[in-house]
Amino acid sequence: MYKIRNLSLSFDGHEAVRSASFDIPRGARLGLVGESGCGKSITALALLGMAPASARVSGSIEIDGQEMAAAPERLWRSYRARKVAMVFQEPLSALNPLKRVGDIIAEPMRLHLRLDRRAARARARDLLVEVGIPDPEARLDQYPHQLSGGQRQRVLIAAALSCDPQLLVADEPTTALDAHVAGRILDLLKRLSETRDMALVFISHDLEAVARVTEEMLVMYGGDIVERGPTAQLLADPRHPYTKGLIEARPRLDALTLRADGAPRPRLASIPGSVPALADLPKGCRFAGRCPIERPACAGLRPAVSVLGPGQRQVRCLAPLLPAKVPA
Amino acid sequence: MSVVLSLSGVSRAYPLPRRRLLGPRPMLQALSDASLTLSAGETLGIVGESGSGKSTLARLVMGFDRPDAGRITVLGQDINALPAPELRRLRAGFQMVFQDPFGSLDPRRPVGWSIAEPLLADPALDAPTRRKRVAEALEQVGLRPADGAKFPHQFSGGQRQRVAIARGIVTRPRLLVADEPVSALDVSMQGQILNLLSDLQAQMGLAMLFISHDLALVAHQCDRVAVMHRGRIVESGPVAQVFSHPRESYTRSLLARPETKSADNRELVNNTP
Ligand SMILES: Nc1ncnc2c1ncn2[C@@H]1O[C@H](COP(=O)(O)OP(=O)(O)OP(=O)(O)O)[C@@H](O)[C@H]1O
Ligand SMILES: Nc1ncnc2c1ncn2[C@@H]1O[C@H](COP(=O)(O)OP(=O)(O)OP(=O)(O)O)[C@@H](O)[C@H]1O
Ligand SMILES: [Mg+2]
Ligand SMILES: [Mg+2]
Repeated sequence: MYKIRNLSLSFDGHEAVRSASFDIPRGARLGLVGESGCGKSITALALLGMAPASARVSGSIEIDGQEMAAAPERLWRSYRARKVAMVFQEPLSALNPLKRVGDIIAEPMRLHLRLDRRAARARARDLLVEVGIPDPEARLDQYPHQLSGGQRQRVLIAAALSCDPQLLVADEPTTALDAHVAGRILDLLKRLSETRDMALVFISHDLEAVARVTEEMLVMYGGDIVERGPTAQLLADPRHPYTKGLIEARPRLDALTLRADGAPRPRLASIPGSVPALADLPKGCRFAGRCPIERPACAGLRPAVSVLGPGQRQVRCLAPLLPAKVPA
Repeated sequence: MSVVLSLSGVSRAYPLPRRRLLGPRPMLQALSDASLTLSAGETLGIVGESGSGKSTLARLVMGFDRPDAGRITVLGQDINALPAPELRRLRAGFQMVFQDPFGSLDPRRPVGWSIAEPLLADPALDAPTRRKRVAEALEQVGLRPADGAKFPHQFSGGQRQRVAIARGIVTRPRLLVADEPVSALDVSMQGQILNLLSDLQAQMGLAMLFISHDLALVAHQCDRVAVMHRGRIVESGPVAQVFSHPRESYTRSLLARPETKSADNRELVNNTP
């Protein structure tokens, strides 16, 4: 359905996304992970023709055989909502403060699905029920600022789903939700993908959530896709040192770690160092400078993509890690 | 230890839309009869499901909204009895990190300006000192001093959240109300920010109201926890005690790990060549 080739985005001559190539087949569920500032959101926005105006975009975005990278805004607009929809990372700024929740959800349905007022409102109400908002009838007539953070996030999800998109791009869609509600939303997205063949691009820093929803994942660092493959394989057996660091920084959530009263707080683990500014990223491997197994050549030379095993897995590293011992 | 914040019997209701024209206006009790105290150097976690009243409580503590009943004392002052100029002066001592970072940043100004803004309440700080403090705060949250010249839209979501944290700590406040302060951050950055907050507490005796739906983070970061349900604090106490021996069934249901479909994951892992 989507074919992205050599997609690059740069700000003031600095590449924030560097020649990304990937496909999104119909009904596929793709996870996109990586540290803060590594290019996930702008990649996602580019998929909807919504990259920031100040970004220079190059490369090819083909949707159902049609080249869209240089398509006029008019064409993109007819795609959005009807074919592709997005759940934005920051709900408050994505919701029009002057519109009631009911109109925010119902208007695209009236426009694109040609539903009449009553039908659109009824379906808006059903969508609020579906995303687990209590007292949906009253919520329809409220404004975004009258909702709690988690309620706003779910309104945004309901609005994105209203026109039955073929692709949903969800950028950190559950950050404001507790584990129970988040789980319910994740299952909803997964179910829609399975029953309606909706493709899903799921951006999250929560690796458990990514494991729960997606079949394949892409790991980004400094604008490069550094590793990709089937989600469970990649999490169990990372081959890029960055992916490994990301997995190891994950707090162990299986048991809440309780301290005795007054006991000192242990330090939390993190990947040493931090993502450099766009202008300071190394020209070669983006992870050079932070990598625990770095070689002298890494900073100057952009590693080629190597294919691992039967072709499903790819890694962009000069010296990928060896396979982990996975219990048979 | 000195008490930095106390609430007694605080309530707030919001009107809901009418069901029928001319019908009675239903009210939603977002907060009922909430009481709590917080001392210097202490972190109190606030947990509860979405819509339980956590952000409402935060807004009331900050004086951005007024309670229908009850009394809120911050740094020894009843903030709802304080004249505006005095409240403004007190303001540098208690700051908030908002749940939605975009909301607290002026889109038309460089973020350095927004971060410096709370410093303006203190006339003793001159412009060079303010600049120095802004640069320091940016570095503390893992950004660069030069980033102060950029506008909010030029940052990623997680970077914007860190800008909001920089704004929250720049005055070296005695009380920080942090509403989901690290929810947009990856785990590595979450660790760095929480370590930073712990350091500020150890160094300056910062008291913190830490609102989060992530119970593992609350268990790590907080000394005490208050559990909210439909606007009420249903249970509170030392975090280890509340989380290991919850008294209320609601707390137990919050703590119950949601069932995950790990079964299919295991299957996939086993297919690894
Ligand atoms: N409009 C813009 N102008 C200049 N730089 C930008 C702009 N938008 C994003 N950037 C930069 O591009 C990089 C990638 O941003 P992006 O929003 O894609 O990150 P992200 O991976 O979504 O991070 P997060 O997890 O924090 O949301 C960041 O370094 C950011 O500062
Ligand atoms: N200005 C307002 N007008 C009407 N209702 C409001 C207003 N502000 C909050 N509410 C309602 O009060 C209740 C509590 O909201 P609050 O934002 O405090 O929840 P929360 O615990 O922070 O939830 P979340 O975890 O989703 O952020 C919600 O049902 C919300 O819709
Ligand atoms: Mg983002
Ligand atoms: Mg809230």
